[in-house]
Amino acid sequence: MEHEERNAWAAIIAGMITFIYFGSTIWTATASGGYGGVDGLSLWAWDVVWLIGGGIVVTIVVMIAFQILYAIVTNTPKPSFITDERDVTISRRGAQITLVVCSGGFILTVILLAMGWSAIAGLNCVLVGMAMGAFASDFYRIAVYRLGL
Amino acid sequence: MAKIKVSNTIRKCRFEADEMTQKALAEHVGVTRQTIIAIEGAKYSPTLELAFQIAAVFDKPLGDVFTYDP
Repeated sequence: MEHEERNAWAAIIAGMITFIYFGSTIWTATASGGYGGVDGLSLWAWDVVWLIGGGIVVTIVVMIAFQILYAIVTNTPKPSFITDERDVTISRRGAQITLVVCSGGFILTVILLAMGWSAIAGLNCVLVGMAMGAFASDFYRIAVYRLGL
Repeated sequence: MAKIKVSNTIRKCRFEADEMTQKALAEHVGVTRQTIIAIEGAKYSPTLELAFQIAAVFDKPLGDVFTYDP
């Protein structure tokens, strides 16, 4: 398994941890009306700031741990860290997929807001769209690396 | 996905070069072994620069290693 594929797997794991842990906090608060007050938007925004910061920390920790575990399990004391032109091409296509999914999430949000959904619900929809965009990109990259698409 | 129109004889060239491994060729040109596998399997078209580097490893002109099939 090459460097960028390991990164893609680690990104999916980190994304799931971030989405489940921090996302559930936001979901629970939304469902219980925790963002319904006057400061609702501000509270939501701070929870998202924690999500982003926590997500960065989780990603760094998971990526380092994944590389170490990979080296131990495969008995490769010096795994390759090369990122070549093909990796750049695959990453670029992954970024395009992220853009498409995120855009779809935004359009869906606008439609839901037009149908009467609350602002917080709309913002959560945008957040989910961005998470799905990141996952879609990482799954695409793994599909290319594993299946040679 | 569009079919790759550039074929190559890299596998044949490797065997002629003292049975060079894919890993050795990858290290020579600075890419991953997976990229060499993808190029040999015509699943990835290398950039012109990489194609020249690969041909240079086997000391052959570009046209002897890569062929365009329109």
